[in-house]
Amino acid sequence: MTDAEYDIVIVGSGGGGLSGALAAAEAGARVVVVDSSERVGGTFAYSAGLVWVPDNHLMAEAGFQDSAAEALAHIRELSGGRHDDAVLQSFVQHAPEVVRWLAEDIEVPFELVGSYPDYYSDRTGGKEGGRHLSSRTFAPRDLLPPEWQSRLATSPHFAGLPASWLEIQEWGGLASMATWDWHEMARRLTADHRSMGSAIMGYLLAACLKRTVEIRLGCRAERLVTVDGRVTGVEVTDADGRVSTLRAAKGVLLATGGFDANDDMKRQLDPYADTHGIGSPTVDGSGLVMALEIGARFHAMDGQLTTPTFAIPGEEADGRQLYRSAVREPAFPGGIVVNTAGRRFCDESFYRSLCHEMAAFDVRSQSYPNAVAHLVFDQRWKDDYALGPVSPGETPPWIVSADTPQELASLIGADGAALAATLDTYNRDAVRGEDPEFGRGSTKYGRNSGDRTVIPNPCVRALEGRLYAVRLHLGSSGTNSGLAFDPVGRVRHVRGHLIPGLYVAGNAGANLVEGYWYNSGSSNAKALTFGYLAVRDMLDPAAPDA
Amino acid sequence: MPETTCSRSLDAEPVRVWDYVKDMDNWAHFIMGYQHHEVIDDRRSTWTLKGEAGVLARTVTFDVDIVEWVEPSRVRFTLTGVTERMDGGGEFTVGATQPETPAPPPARVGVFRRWLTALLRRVTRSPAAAPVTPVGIGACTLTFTLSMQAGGMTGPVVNAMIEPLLAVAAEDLAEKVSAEIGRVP
Repeated sequence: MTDAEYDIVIVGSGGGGLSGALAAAEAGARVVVVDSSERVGGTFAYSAGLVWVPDNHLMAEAGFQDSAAEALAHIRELSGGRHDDAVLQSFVQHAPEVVRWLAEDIEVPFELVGSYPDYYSDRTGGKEGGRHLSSRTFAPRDLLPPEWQSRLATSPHFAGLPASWLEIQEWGGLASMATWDWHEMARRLTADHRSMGSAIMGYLLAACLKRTVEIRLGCRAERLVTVDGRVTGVEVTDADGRVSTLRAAKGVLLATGGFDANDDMKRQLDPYADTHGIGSPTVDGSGLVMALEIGARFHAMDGQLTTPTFAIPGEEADGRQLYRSAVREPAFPGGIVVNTAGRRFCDESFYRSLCHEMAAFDVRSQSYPNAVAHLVFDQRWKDDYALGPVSPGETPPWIVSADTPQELASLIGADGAALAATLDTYNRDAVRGEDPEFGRGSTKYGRNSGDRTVIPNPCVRALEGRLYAVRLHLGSSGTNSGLAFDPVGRVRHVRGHLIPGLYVAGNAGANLVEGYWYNSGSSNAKALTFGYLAVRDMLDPAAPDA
Repeated sequence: MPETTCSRSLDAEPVRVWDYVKDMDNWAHFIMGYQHHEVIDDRRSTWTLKGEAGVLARTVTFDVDIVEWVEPSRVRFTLTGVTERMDGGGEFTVGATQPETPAPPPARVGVFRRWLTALLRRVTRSPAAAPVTPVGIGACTLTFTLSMQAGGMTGPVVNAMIEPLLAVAAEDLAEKVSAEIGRVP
């Protein structure tokens, strides 16, 4: 492989990378995308494909009221002041413009998932719906050249779910899976339809190929090339081990994702590291390392984008145990989550609460008391709801069950007397649909995750009859810490100035807000937005050079 | 129910092929994704396989029950999922192939082929489309049929995922068994 000259070199083929590539191609720039993976899509393709954009054009058309000022007030309140306000303002201002461009010029068929609420919809500036977009399913056989159809990454989490978010909402949500048309799902699967994040990445890839964007897969970026402090290219190694330099006249965009697949980096950088990467296995922090080598500033934040998960023994994806997302299941009525002490510890209907408490450190006991947690549910829950790919009523051997709380507790290593007491306490209030201890179903997000047919509280029902339990684990769909950057994605040096020629998008850059705030789809929106802004800045002759 | 059938012509005496096939230890490791198996008695065994469907790989344990044993030509079995809601069955048949004859005149080829195909189909229970090539004296045809069906809510989706895999797995097994016994090209 010989050296080559481009205007823009993009490292990473996820949402940020291809958004930037399309912005470059639309402007007529010479652009190349390299990715160490053999498939396009990065973390974005593994995601649920939601894109959180306040004041987006589709919500306005559907009659939802919103404004940038409300979104800013919302995030500022939740960040506790720990954010870069200029970067935040840039995101809120430009994200609607970017998704409109993607919808109208790039032809990504975004749909409004109108009933999907903000996590904190009851806080200042929060919305009960309208800020979440997703796309229709994607048919590679219709929209991609044959040689590219197998090069679009598919999320193992949604491989058997070829449906759009809008359809899922219209079909009654995930608690109603038993009533869906699974024969239609099978038809779509046979036709290789993609959904969620893979669908959006499919539309972006199709648009890139249509514009003859050069994409090199199996091509690993090794280090940034600099001249007098300016980033002028990237040294890469191709699949055959040949090393070359891709020179970038205008700039390099790092869109390599976070480090959620790199256990060593998580142990070094995060307060709670016992998480399982559920995104692309190639998201290993390589972009961060390249930037840190030339003095980039690393912004350490609290924790990761965690998700409750469960594991089916023997189920693998990407050569490792698959941890399946269990965001909704703990919210279904007739279930609770307990620790080894046999006690509840959070509002299980709001998965952010569950994740936060599972990772919480207790100073007095010098331990993580909720790290080993089990979802406990009753016979009716088992009969009515699916657990990932497990059909209602089906009980594979890895789901433990017992007739009494004491017996169940002995099977999961919990305190039997405490579990019995926990159930007595919970059931006493649950018969009225109440959970005074932790407030299951007290948030719009929690109620939206529950079973809408259960009243008065879609997340609360007393547990009766035979009991079942499944171990929960913390999964990591992304990392919060990352490179510090300015409002157009330019990477900051550790001494404060900007590094000329170096830009970042997506999870390689630090989260917008330090702390635990984010929404489903906010990382995806950030990636799309800053990929676009970075390239636009590279190509703007009036933009001041750092 | 997803089902597949494949046949291989073998340059071996049927009884030799049967002796090979009847002992599952001879060919178990040739099964795609084979992890291990345990023989419980003459009729029952437990098998653990690792199957790959698209981006997912799942380790599945089945109870295998032999429901028909016609020595030296046919063994039929059922599959019952232990770790998955999945059932199925299959069979091995070993059938003698007609001795090779001199090439008939072109006008009679169609008649001969139809007769031979019908005979082989009856012997091996293979579908009309299955390719069968007569070989030398002492040759036989080994036919393998496998069906599998997932139950439950997502059964249609799982069946859609496993259907293309069945044919690949059956062909792979037939190829390896044939090679092991010594197939005439």
